[in-house]
Amino acid sequence: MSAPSQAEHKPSELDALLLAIADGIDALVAWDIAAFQSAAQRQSELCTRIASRSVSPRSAADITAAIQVRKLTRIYARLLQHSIHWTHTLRTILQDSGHISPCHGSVHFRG
Amino acid sequence: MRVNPNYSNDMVNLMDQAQQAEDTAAQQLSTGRRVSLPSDDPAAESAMIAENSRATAADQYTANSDSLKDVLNTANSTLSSVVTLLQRAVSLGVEGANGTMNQTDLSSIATEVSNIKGQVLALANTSYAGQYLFSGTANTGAPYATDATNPQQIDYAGNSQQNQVQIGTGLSVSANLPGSSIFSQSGANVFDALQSLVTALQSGTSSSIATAQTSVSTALGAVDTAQVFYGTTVNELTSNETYLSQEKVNIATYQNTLVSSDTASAATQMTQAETALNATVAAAAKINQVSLLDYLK
Amino acid sequence: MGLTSDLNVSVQSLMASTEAMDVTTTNMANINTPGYARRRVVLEESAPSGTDQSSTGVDVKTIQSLRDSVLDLSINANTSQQNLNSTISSALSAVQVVFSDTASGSIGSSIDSFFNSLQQLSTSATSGSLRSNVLTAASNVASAFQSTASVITQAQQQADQSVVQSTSDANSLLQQIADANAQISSAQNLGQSSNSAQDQLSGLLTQLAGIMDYKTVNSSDGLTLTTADGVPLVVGSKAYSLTNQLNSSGYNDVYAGSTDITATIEGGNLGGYLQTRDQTLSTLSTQLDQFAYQFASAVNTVQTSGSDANGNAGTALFNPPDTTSGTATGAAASIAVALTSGSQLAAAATGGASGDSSNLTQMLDLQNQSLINGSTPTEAFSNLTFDIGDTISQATSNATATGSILTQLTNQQGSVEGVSLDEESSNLLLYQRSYEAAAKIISTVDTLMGNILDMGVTNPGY
Repeated sequence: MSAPSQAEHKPSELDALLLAIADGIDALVAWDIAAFQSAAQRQSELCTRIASRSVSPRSAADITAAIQVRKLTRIYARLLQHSIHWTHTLRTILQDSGHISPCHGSVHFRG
Repeated sequence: MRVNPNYSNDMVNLMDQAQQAEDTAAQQLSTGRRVSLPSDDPAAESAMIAENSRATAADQYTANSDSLKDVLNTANSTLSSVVTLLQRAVSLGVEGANGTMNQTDLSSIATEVSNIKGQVLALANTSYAGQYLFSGTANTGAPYATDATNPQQIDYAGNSQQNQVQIGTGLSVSANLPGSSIFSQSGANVFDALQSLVTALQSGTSSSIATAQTSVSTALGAVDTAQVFYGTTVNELTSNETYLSQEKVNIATYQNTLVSSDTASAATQMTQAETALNATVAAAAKINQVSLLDYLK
Repeated sequence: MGLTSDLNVSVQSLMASTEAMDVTTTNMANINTPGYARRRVVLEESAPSGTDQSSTGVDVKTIQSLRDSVLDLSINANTSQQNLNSTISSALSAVQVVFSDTASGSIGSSIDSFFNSLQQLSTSATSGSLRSNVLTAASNVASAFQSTASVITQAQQQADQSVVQSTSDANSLLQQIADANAQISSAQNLGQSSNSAQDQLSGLLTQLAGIMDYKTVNSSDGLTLTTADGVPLVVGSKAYSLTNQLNSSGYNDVYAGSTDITATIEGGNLGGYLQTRDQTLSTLSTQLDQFAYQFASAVNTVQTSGSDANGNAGTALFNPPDTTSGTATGAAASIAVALTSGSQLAAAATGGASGDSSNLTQMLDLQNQSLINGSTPTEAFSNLTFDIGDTISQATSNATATGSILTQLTNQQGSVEGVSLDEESSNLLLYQRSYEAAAKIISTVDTLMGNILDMGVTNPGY
């Protein structure tokens, strides 16, 4: 498949935000705290810049990018929520080390 | 916490995602649409449906407007012909009333006026595209006919109703003017007036000719005034058509924002997706070669 | 520490690392066996010897074991969620096509064309050909309802077939789980290793989770599996039989033994097929019937309050509904045009003149009236489009999110060698704090994107 012609579209702040969120997801999946913190930092900086610039007129590229960011954010938020819950669960287990009786109990997760 | 050495499931997952991203980007590039299915963007899709409805309605209103203009313009030019005939009748009446003509000439003028009456009758009964123009809403039948018992009397068989045609949401215009508001208004009946002039000319009395000529004048004025409806309505339709074409442009522009893909970013996404897919495939190939020693580090 | 202690520590370390190598080799060989749980090399610090209290006894085995159980449970629960969502997404994919804006012969576009044909007729109410066009447009509306109803029914039937297949698959897994339980139980009774059966059981539990959600309880009987609300599926070495029985809608319900568990299954493929069949598509079907019924009723009411081209009172344009049928059920599948000639269209008011179009005006007004449960016909169709698109979009998004969660959890299945529990606990605290801080950014992103997108909510040209 031949590469498409050179895009005139220069990466916008929204594209960069999309990338930062994707990096956040990758970092969460790999339990890489350094990469995660770096991605979160970038997200925060980009938000500040996007908030400060005027949003009109909106281009078709802006709309496309904003919709993609929204979609990816939903996934990121879910994964992050899970990660917070999971680390908390593990901490609870570890902090009670030695005081937890062998596997006895039912746990039903409803995702 | 460490990365799982069981890479194969992760790789398959990543490759699936990368392939899917590339497929999506390719489709967007080729269709020019970012949104093809409701699940792509439910809000955009449901807005598209509403806008399609507006767009097709605007097309229909424009078509209605065109059809109606044809009818109205035909009626308008018919009435212009009637006005011309009535003006001729008036000047004949003026001539006849000045007392200088002999009876032979007066009889001759009477015949001409009688012919005018017949022509006006025919014009009043004009039909266009299968409908009589001046019958009100009873437009399957001719509006005017000679009375059965009195051949000099013309009766109106139509009604005084007007049909409405929509040219926009909540916007409609009257599509016709009944004959009873044009030719046979009370106190200004064109046929009665013409008949009275014929009779007066045949009698030869100057004063009655003058009276009859005045009544034809009055009837002419009434027709003239009534005719304004057609020109005014056509103007309204024309200016509405301008509004409708602007509305179509607005709709098309909006629909573009809703669902069209920006070619440049679609191309970029395509490139990125391809790169990601290639990288994932390469990584998968590499990992399968990991040795036990690497694993132990 | 004295020299002897050093030597002891060294020897012990050496032995431990040899063992570690053996374990690693076994791990690699079994890497493709589903559910193979890595033999964990857990380093137990030796108990303090003599008066030297320099090392404390920390038994990590129990902690690991608990953590692994929780990990397995979470992986299984997320597997259920992922399969639920991806199943919903694909089961509905054929149905959403008929609701897209480009679908030809859709309900939305055919209703638009119907009203357009009435508009056209209003310019020349007596025209035979324009009247005929209206009947054609009306029958296209009927066809659109019928074909949409048919697509929905087909999807329900396919989901139903999948319910039967999934029930059978689950039934087989329950039996295998019961067998694994029996093996584990007897091995333990004989004081033998049950590792292999445990691994097998672990794999079976994940497979089952992919089909349906369930609860597990470990007790003296061994492993017990129940539905979410406690109906037993497996108790120790006994498996309950999963079967299907036809319900009053003609679709298959799921039974565990003699108990109907259909309504309680909310995860896995089976949960996805059931939800699609019994909720999403069932609701859509009802809404479609109401749409057809209310639309046809409104048109019929106007039609019967006017006069046709022959001066007779207008009769119903659509059937159903007719005056005798009172229920909307099945309306979308059976709606049809009842008139046979365009001359039967009641364009004129009752007693109106031959060319009167005032009843047509009434019929045209329907396009902007709230006929369908408070919505105009176009709004009703566009709402259905949004609903199904949103359901699929959410399911797809959830499936992707759960997929990421599963990968993340799988990445937890590594050994933690030589990291003290205190150290790990403080690492976890760092992670938790970082995650919580990052969570705040998400709502900012949401607001910003909302600002960019909300400007396009209504057509700026109006």
